[in-house]
Amino acid sequence: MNVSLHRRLSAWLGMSILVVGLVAAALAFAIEYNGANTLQDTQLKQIAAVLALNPLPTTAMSFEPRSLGDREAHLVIKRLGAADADAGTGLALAEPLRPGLQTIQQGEVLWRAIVSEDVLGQRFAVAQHMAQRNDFALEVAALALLPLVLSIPVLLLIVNRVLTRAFAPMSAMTAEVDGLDGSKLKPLDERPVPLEALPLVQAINRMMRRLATLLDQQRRLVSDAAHELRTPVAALIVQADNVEHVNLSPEATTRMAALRQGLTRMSALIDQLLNFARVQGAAPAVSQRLDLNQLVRAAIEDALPMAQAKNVDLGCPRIDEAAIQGDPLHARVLVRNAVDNAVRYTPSGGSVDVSVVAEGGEVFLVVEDTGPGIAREDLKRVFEPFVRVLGSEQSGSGLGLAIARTAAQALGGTIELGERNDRHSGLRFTYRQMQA
Amino acid sequence: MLGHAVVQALRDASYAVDWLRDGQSAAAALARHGFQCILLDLGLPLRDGLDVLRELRARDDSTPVLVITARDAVDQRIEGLDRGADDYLVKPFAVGELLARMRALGRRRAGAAAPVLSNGVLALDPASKAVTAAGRRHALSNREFALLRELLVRPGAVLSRAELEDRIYGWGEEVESNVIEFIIHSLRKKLGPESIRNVRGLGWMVERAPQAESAQ
Repeated sequence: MNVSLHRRLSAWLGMSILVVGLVAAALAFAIEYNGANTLQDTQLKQIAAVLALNPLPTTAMSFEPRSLGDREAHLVIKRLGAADADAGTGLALAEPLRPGLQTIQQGEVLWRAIVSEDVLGQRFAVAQHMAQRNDFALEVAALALLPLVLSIPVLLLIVNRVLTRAFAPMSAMTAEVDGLDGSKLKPLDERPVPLEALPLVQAINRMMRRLATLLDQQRRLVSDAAHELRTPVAALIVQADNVEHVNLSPEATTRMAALRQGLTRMSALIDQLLNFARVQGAAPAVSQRLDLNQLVRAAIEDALPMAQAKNVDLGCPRIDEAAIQGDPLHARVLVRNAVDNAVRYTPSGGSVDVSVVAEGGEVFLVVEDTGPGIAREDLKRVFEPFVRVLGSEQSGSGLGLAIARTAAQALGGTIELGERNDRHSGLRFTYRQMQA
Repeated sequence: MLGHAVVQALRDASYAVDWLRDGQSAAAALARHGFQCILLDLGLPLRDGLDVLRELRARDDSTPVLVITARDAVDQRIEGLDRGADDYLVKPFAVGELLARMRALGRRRAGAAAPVLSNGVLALDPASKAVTAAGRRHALSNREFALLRELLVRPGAVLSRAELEDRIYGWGEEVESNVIEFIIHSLRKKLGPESIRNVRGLGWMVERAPQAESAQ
């Protein structure tokens, strides 16, 4: 199982922030709550101390919320042992009470009270509703909680941002590596890579360079081999011509024709191998504006002799003005292979329609034939070099579509193969590229 | 192997052949003897073919040189022609094409390059504005001649209606509709229906004969 470092870090950091934040919040709450209570006790003590400096009046006093405008200030001051047990304060105190701070239960209501003596030695009590005190403490504690609780999502957000930022070079690099194919291997940019990942990227780059050299050698080998083959094939063809120059028996003439056909096929294969090596980037590509109509016309002119020999009707139902940007060699090879393949695989009496359609900023080269088509399961495979579909007796080089696809990639366009969508059956080859 | 085969082919065609197998001896032979035509393979041992060619041209020797090369990259052709080659042939090739090109070089050298335009089936004589097809001579109208000439300049090339109209009508001349079809119809009547082929949606062409030159 592969583990995402990003996700792992996110999870751990997020959890830590959450747990630590919550514990800290709980602690802060408890501390503040206690503090608030202690503070209120201290206040009671101070009030009692101040009151004790003077002789107390005999009546009980109650500081109502209204008089001070603050509910928490509700305070009852009462002389103990006085006749009026309650005096409207709601607090009836029964002796004996020990001096000092205490909690008194009276019916449903809890009081916090301090019992003290004034200068004349008269005992008195200062009391507060417990519920009021608790409300105040809760409020204070809750206020203390607020910044901590608010900081948790902010922290989570920051961690997420920082992690995404830190992993961005990796994501970018993945996209970059995914975008590479054999024809344009180039080392990855090492500048945005974090120090920790640098050795890995450098290793990848070293491998990439070795791979590029290897691919280059391979391409050159194919190209060189094809070139080297040309001379012996030329010799064979000339030799065959020479043999035909001698008076041959009719049977020998027939056999010579077969030999000659094989030679023609061989030289066509060599040409296709060279084309393949070329579109794979044996030569550096140039980019210029190309008239697609001219390319189509040249391809049709090249394929016409074969079409006429096979009695295949080759034509253009629609040909829009269209220009593309790219390497002329790639474009030429692409168009020629598309047309050539269609004519090659169309049986006698069939037709091949080549259309150029310019629509919505894009150019479409559509080649439709009335051949056997390609089974759905073979559609991907036929782009591989030397893959021939079973059942087709035609003898192509097996490279046409591989060449076309490589050329299409170099041009920045895409090839789509499928069934025709009109009343005919056959293969529909569509090449699309941005209009120049 | 190719050398043997070519020498055999040339002897069969009644040429006298000197075959030199490396660049040095080729250069030496070229300095001593005069030849009618030189077939130069660029991939020579000991001395590069282009080098031999440059030396030949530096001596002001204008013997026709037909370069035979396995490399068909465009710049290499240009380099060969720049160095003074008269024509080039890319391997592999048919003997017929080799002989045809040698004959063409010979004619060009003699200053008698045929003015007759031909694709091997039709032969158009610009002087008399007449065309020969299947051994019969047909007189042509001016428009018929102009159209056929455009097609025969490059047999196998497709010309669209607009291109044909452009080329056979001058600036400002009124082009009647369907006039191209009309001219082609009358040409086909004289020369046979297969003489000018229609390519659906693109235009018209005359067929490129496989050995166009040798038919002349």
